Amino acid sequence: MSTTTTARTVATAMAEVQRWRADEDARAKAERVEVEQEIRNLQTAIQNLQSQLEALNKFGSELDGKKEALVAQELERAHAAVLGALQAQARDIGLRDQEVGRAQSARDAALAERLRQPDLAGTVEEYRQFKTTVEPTIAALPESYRKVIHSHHETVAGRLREVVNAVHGAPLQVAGPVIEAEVVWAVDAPDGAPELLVCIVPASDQVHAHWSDQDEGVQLWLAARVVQAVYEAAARTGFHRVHAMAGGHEGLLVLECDITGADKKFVDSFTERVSALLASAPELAGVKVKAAAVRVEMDVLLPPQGEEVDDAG
Amino acid sequence: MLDEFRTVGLTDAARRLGCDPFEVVHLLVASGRVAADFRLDHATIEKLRQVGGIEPSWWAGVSLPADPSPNRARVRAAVQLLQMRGHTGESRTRLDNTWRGLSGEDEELVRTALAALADDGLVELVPTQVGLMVSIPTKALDQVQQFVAGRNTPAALQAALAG
Repeated sequence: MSTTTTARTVATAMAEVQRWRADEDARAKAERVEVEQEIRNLQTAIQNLQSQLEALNKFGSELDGKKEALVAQELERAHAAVLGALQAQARDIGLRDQEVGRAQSARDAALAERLRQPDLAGTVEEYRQFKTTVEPTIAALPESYRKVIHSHHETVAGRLREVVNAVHGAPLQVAGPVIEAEVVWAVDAPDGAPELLVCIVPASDQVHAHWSDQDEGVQLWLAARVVQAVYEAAARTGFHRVHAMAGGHEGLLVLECDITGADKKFVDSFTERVSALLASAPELAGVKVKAAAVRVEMDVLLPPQGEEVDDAG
Repeated sequence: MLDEFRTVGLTDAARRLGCDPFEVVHLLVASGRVAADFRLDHATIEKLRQVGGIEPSWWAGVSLPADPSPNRARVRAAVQLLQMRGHTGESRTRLDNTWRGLSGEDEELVRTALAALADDGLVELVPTQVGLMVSIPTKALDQVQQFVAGRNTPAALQAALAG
């Protein structure tokens, strides 16, 4: 009798191997699909991130551009703000000048009235006669007579001078609130050395253009103190070839000086003089104007893309 | 009548001197005579006249040359006066001496024209301690002679007169 063992056959064993292999292939294939899906997912994510990065870079560039534009806008706003403030001051000062004119007229009337008073009328008449009748012919008189007449005339003139000084000797006074006035100035020094001094005065440009048709007042005095500061700085630093030219900008009075060749000492001296003169001017204090000088960057007075000062000269 | 006793302000002083008020301030500083309140007495005004070399008007009795352009005739006359008075080379005069006494319009014309002629090199403008001075450069005398005679008009002046 024969018996058959149940031991595995090679074929069975190999079949198992084949099944294992098939299983592994299936698993690997599934894993490969998963990996590829993961890769695609990551690539999509990377593309999304890249897009976000590009968008952020673009936004960053736009912010930089806005920052540059803000600098220009700030200068334009500063320019407009400064001019607006000075124009408002100029309006107030123009009104104060009307009061100054009235005070001057009142002072002239007071002098005329004083000279008509009985205690002076005779002296005035004596003076008038000397000027109209005696003086033209006095040379024909002997010296001894001339001396006596001149001596008496000096007495008469001294009395009248005293009276005139009593009325006109002090700076004009007006009542009213104190007006703040600021002279704004800047120095252009593109290569480090000063080349141009520009001052804007809270006064109408007509103060210079039509000076001979106008009575003087605060507007002229303010500008004159600035001009004084320019020439005093020039004298103190030996820079004599400076010349203050007047013109207008947006209706305001502008003073410009070519200071090419001046060194820093001129600017330092001008800085000190303009502040000191404006602060201590008795004619301004008398009419209740408190003046000061304010230095700004040149770009604020004349923004790079803005208008140039016109009509200087 | 009592003017000799009264001090005057910058504008009245400028009227008396025939220059603008800022030039009065310039001369006050140059002569060391700035009053605390910008009031000037008669003696100070005369001193400024002397210090600044301020001359009486040059224009009394001056006849303008024949010229199709009245403005150019005025400028030719101004340059001729400058030349006749010997202001050539280093012999300079105040710039405002050239127009003192003219009407406002003619003053502006001469002022503008001399600035243009300076651009053309026919006159030289020199800022000094007492004001802006002018003279005819020696090397430009021939050109100036031609212009005064009406035989040419420098380019910058042409533009200024046209403007």
